Amino acid sequence: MSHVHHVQRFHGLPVYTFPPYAHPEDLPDAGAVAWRLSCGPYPTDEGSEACWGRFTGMVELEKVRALILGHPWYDSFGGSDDAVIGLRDRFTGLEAVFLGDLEYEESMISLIGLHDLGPLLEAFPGLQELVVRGGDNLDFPVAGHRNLRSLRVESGGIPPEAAEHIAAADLPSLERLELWLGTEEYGGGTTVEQLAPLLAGDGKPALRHLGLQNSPDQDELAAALASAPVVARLRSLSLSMGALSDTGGEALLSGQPLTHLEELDLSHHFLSHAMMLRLWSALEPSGVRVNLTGKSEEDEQDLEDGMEHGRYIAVAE
Amino acid sequence: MTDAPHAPVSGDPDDRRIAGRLLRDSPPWLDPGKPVPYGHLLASAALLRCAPAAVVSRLAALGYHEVERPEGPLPEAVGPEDTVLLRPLGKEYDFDWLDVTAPVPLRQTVVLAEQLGVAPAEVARRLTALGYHYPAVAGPLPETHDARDVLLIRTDAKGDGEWLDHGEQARARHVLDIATRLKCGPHAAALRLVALGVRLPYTPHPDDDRLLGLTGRPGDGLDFARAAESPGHVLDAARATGRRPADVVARLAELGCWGTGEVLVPDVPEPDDLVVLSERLDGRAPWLRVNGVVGVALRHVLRAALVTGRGPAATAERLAALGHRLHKNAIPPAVADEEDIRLLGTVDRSFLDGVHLEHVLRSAGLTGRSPAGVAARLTALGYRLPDEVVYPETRAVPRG
Repeated sequence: MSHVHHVQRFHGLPVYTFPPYAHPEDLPDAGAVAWRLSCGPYPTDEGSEACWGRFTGMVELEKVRALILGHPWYDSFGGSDDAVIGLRDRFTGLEAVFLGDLEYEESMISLIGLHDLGPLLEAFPGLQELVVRGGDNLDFPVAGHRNLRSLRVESGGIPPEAAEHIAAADLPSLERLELWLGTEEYGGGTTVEQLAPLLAGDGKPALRHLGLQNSPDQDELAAALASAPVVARLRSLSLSMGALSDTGGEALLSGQPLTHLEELDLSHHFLSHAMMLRLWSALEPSGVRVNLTGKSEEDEQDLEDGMEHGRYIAVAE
Repeated sequence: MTDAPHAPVSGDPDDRRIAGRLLRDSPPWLDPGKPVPYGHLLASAALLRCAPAAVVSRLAALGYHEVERPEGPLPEAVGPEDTVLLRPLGKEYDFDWLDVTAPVPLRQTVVLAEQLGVAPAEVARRLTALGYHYPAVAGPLPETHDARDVLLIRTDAKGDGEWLDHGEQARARHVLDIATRLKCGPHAAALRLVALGVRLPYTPHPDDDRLLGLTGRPGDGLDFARAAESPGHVLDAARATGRRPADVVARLAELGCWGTGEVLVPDVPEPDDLVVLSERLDGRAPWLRVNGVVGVALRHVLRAALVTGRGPAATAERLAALGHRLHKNAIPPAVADEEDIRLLGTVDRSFLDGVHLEHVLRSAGLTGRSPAGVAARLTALGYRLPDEVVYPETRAVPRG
């Protein structure tokens, strides 16, 4: 199952891809959809400048609530939100931004270039939801943001410094945080220590959902969360998409109580049937929905090649 | 690199510029052994602000005696604004000129019209005035500017693209695909293609949009071909237009739908056919899509049975008559009940797939049943459960 695809709904709105050479009479109300800007890669496709010009000329930007930028605003050559920031005075109602909505055919996730998100957050103090896909050059301001409620970083490898900054950032309104940490091979490698402020529950008093996902070190993360203070305030926790094994499952079972959670997402895992049954039996009768779908088998070739284990994350390259 | 072989002997800067293939006083130079391209002649005239005939004389004096010419007379004047028309599209990396001996491709006219923000007819007039010609099959082009023309005539986006030309026939499916991409009505797209001189395998009709499911609401974003390819859509369109279902199918096929496979629609629908064919069982779009691999979902059959009051077997039989067959592994229960419907709503496996422990546990959690109970019920409904595990009898507890 692919985890990386064009977003269909965003910020509670249906996504509407701004069509090439759009006509104003064919367009929906500016506030009724999440606007997706994306141009084809070929010389005969409408260029991004023309597309952006048409979009900003035809659509009442003041009413736009959600904006999604795809190719070529973001691709393997890098990414830029300058165009959005440049029109901050017109995007007065902007609540949600998705940067880098590209599928595999457009660019491997590991190649999608990002940037420092500080200027965007500073330009839009009313922003509530931010999703970014990619990894290269990503950074996040430790100073944080007053109103951001939801942040998701989809990556095959979040730069560890960026993850560290997110973990340390002051985000008093943040309710959902999802980090696809990724692997060192593709720029990741975040350590548990770098996530310490997040695990301690510092700086994010409103947090109700935490996803520390897509990590080769999922067992270590599970062990850390087994005693992390932040867990007590969560309603849902995701350790999905990673290389979780029975070691991590055992850590969750032997750690602090998780029965206050509404959902524990462990999908895409390498747990044994016995561990799956133990986790289910320990939590489901207490009302915790445990997602154990996506049971995966270790890659035998990796084992034959002498690697420590054959477990792999869901999204890497 | 030397410029000796073809360098003009003249020291006049203008002479040297028109002798340069790039219209500057430097190599590469025109080859006196080859005809001077007509576009070069016109661009030289624009550059020197003189008549093309004067440039012909000047080139002859420089040793370039053979110059391409149009079928008719040379234009008396060429403006600098005309030179943009003379570059053949798709050859931007060659220093080439639009061929005056061949008809102007539709792409040249349409793309230039988009770039210049004018009507295709205006581009055609200007090129014709410059001596270029259009094929006999080309009729008058549209007098209105529409930037979408570029995509309407492009049939393949990759690389330099594939483009429809004057008089060429587009596939019916192309109209649907491009209307979907442009988020415009297929009928409008078809009419514009015809206006651009592209032939269609059918004659566009205003009813076509209704047959294809266009509601007229801005931002519909329908995938027209996909939306129309369902028996429910056909019956609904027949009802809305007063046509026979078979006639709707025939017209949709002409419009590029139903590319493969048979279409099962009754001549005289039963009263609740539209209900059982609608995803929400409300007799309205979205319509149930035919799945020829895993069949109609058993959950839909049971829901439809509850809504219509028919039994599951009778409902399955009617749906099969309408093109939606249950997979042969499915075992419909004698009576439809909400518990089964709720359970099946948590199963995203088909009757071809194995239902594994992970799926049983998920369904048990979402329905508040025990894994053992879920496993037993799914087995009774025809699912395969290949994992050799002892399913717990403990029930999940729903929250809230």
